[in-house]
Amino acid sequence: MTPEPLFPEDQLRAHLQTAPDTAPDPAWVRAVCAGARHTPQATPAVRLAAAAAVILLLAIIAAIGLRLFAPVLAPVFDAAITCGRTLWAFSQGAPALLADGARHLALAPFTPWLLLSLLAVEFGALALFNRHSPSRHA
Amino acid sequence: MPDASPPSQSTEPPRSRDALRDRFEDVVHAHGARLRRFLARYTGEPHAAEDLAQETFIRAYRHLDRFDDRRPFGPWLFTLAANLGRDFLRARFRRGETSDGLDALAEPADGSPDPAAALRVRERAEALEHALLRLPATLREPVLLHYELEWPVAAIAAYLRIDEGAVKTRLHRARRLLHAWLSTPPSRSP
Repeated sequence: MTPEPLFPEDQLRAHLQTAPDTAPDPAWVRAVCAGARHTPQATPAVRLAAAAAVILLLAIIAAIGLRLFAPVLAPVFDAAITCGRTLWAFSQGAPALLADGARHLALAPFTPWLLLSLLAVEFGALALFNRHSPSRHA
Repeated sequence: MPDASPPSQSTEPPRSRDALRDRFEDVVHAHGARLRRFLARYTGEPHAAEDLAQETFIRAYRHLDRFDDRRPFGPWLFTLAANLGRDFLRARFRRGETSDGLDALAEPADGSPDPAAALRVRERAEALEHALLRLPATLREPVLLHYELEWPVAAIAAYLRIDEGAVKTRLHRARRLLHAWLSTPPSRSP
């Protein structure tokens, strides 16, 4: 079986690595340097102020949103609080409270073991997500 | 006109972050032409390469504090350029546009005294340049990173987030295509 014909690596490397014959236009070089030096850069104080402004804005939006959607969100908060209580009770070793919390959530068939399995799956998924989270060079 | 004089070429290239910042004109002069050509090939858009090269230098200057000056500056700069090139290709892909201006990459004739030989050299280089730009971006990227910037296969795999076998396959397919195109009579229309 004859090998597949390929473009020679050395020719490709030589062509691609040949230095350009022309030096960059000095005017272009000066324009690039001027652009780089005069591009506004945020100082730490400016960054801090910007972050504070963003947080404040988000807080205002959240407050307005909570106010507007209170009727819709109330059951969700109730469920979240109940869930939190349930988890707390579980961590304190109180299965009776746990069952009570599960009833509150209308999740009667849920057993502590099922809840524990769900938590394990969630932590596993989080660990996997962190492991494969994208990162860029440079 | 003192400003028009080329930067000091006789001195050592700057290496430390402070020196790079102070002598940034030397940096742009040293890497400018190669960076523009690299971006023109990488994106297939010679006219956009100038803007991208400028953006690369601006980013490099702004983020010099992130550069580890125990390492060489060139690979860091070209990695920034490749990132910008990738962003450009993604944006172009989303817009459904294609490349243009292939002739702008044509190499100038060399200084050979024999005009016929010079013409042949130029034609071969032009044909290869056109063939490189005809490659799909997914094949051209690893070719440029490997054969122009000398990145190892493992580094390309990590950068493109594919496995090493896929990088080798793409390099192989690219060389097979280049051989096929350059061993048949040239066709200007991709």
